[in-house]
Amino acid sequence: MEEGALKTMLPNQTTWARPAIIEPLKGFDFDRAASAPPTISAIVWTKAQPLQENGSPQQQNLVGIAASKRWNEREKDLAKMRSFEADWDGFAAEAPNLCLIDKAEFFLRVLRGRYPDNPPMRAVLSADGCVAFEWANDEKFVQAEIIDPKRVEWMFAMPGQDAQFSIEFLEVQSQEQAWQPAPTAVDEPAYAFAR
Amino acid sequence: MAASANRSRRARLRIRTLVRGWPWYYETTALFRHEVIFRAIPNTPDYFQLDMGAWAVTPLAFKPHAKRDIDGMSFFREDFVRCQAVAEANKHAQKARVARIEVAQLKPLELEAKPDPDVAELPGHAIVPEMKYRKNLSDEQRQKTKDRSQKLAQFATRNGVYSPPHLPDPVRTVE
Repeated sequence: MEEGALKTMLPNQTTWARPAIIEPLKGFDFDRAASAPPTISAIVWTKAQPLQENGSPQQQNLVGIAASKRWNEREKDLAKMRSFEADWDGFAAEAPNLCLIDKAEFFLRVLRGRYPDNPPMRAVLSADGCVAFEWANDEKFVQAEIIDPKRVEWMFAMPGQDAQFSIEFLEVQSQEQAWQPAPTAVDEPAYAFAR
Repeated sequence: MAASANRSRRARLRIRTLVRGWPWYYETTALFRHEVIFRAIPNTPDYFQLDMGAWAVTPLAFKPHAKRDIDGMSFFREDFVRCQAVAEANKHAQKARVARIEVAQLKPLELEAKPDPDVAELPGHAIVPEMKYRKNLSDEQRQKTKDRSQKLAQFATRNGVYSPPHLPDPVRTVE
């Protein structure tokens, strides 16, 4: 999470901050996260009090711009991965699985909506063609790996401890679903008349 | 250093290897507890990024690979090959760095390195059989392997990564 992101909220307003893994790198409750997978439905919104210090509109804008830049960089990372061919790492790596990159792009949008101030620090392509997003500092490490088109595996690690895992299921609209017009309501008498 | 075919190649001549029995110290000799093993890290953000704290080497650098890690994860022994040679052997366009792991660091992870001389590879090829690629893993098995990978990545970051002179920071380029 960007330093002081919560502090940038406007003063004297009641705001609702996203808790849970919005702050996976500082004070994140790993035990709780592992027992409750970070699905959208599982997020509990908590009331946060705005802070006065460091909350000027200028700083708020700077934080927002920095985060936005990093989100865009991750999108570009994924776009570049599409052009990789087999042996892209000089180590016999497989070509990227384009289906997984599609899902990764979708999941990145989900993450951006969920944690707008906390973009992944890197998007990585593994030698077997899988894609993952990572956040890390000296104390904590969080990885969200698209392990198959329907699942994301979260890993939370700290030095000297076993990593903890949770699996999130991706429910993405297919192209047909996305472009198909919403079904129109048909009232029963009209339908009967048509028959 | 030449050696008879059955005994494979001999260790580099160093004080360490003299203590360990050079000139009778061959690739087939079991790994010592305080030996160091190398693994090349291609110079891309997918494998290495400086601002990632204790995980500058990504755990994916130690993820078993379907083609490379059939019998076990590949490493090279410092007693037989220089880190420069391991870096140069990687064919990535942006060159490679080299991660170092001490054999003693494998034990807490219930891993063991074994000599696996291969004339087609650099001298001192070794494998960690427990980290070999396996198909159709259960969630539990896959997570155990990922936990080991992230711990190896921590060790590699903590032990220091060799960077060839004038190697630029990793940049993602279109291949």
